[in-house]
Amino acid sequence: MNDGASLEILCFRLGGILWGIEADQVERIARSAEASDAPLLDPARVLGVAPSEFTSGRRLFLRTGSARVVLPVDEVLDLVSLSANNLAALPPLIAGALPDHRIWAVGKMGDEILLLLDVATLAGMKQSSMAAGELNRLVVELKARVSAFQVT
Amino acid sequence: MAAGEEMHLAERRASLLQQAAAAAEALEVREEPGIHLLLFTLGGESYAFPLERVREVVKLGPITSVPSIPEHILGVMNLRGEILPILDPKRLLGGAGGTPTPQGRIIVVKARGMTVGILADGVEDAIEVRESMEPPLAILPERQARYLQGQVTHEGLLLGVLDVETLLERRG
Repeated sequence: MNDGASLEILCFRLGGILWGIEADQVERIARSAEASDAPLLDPARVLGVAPSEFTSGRRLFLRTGSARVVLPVDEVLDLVSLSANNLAALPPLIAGALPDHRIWAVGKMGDEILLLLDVATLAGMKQSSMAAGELNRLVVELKARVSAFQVT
Repeated sequence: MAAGEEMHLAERRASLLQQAAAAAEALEVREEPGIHLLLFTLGGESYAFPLERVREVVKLGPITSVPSIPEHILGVMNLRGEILPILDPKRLLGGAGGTPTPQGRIIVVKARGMTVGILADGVEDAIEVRESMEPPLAILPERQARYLQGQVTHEGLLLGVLDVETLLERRG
């Protein structure tokens, strides 16, 4: 945030939708091939959208507090400054239908609407996906042990 | 005038005034205003909203979809700076939904403390119906009947009056 009255937002497209993230939560933008030690989010799982197969793709390296995650996107568009007049809370009908607080507000850019993502919620999803991954790893290991036992 | 005659006159006047009051009351009942409705079409069928629930009708603008919400909520629309959720009642009533046509309109309604846009294939007219609203016909599928406040007859057609409150109920 550059002052009390506006927000710097990085805009990008993912799954045909215009999204935004507060610029101070974006560490850097990299090509898809670049390796990272931060967990890579699956947009289909965490946002319900799939990146287009036909774009080169970029990855946003995001940080909030001590949490870091990487989000693949279709296209990085621009850095925009949104004043309070161009921000609005998510309508209650939509907020109540979402499973969590992944979208904390919307930005108004003419006729287009920007869905503003909450990085902390995305980072929380990363933790639950790691827990599920760990469980899967244990199940695979257990199955391997059982089949080894059956063979002997 | 004798006392008995006076009493008779008073009784006659009282009786007449009582009849006049009853007649006026009956007239009031007859002159009770009808039901004001906004007629619109969904998938070739005519439906109505109580006019008191309708704030305005606007042309269809760009709708931004929001992933991970129920399919009957199409997304959000920017109406003169106001962010409106847009709902497709066809998907609730058992229809397939589909691509909005150029005749498509957004009926902006208010209920449950919310303002919501309802996608209609077209808006026909605002009417006044004198007859009372009847409960939905028993032969209607439950999926449709649950969203109807009732049914009215207009120009020989039976119209379903949609219940805005039920349309906005939270569902998974």
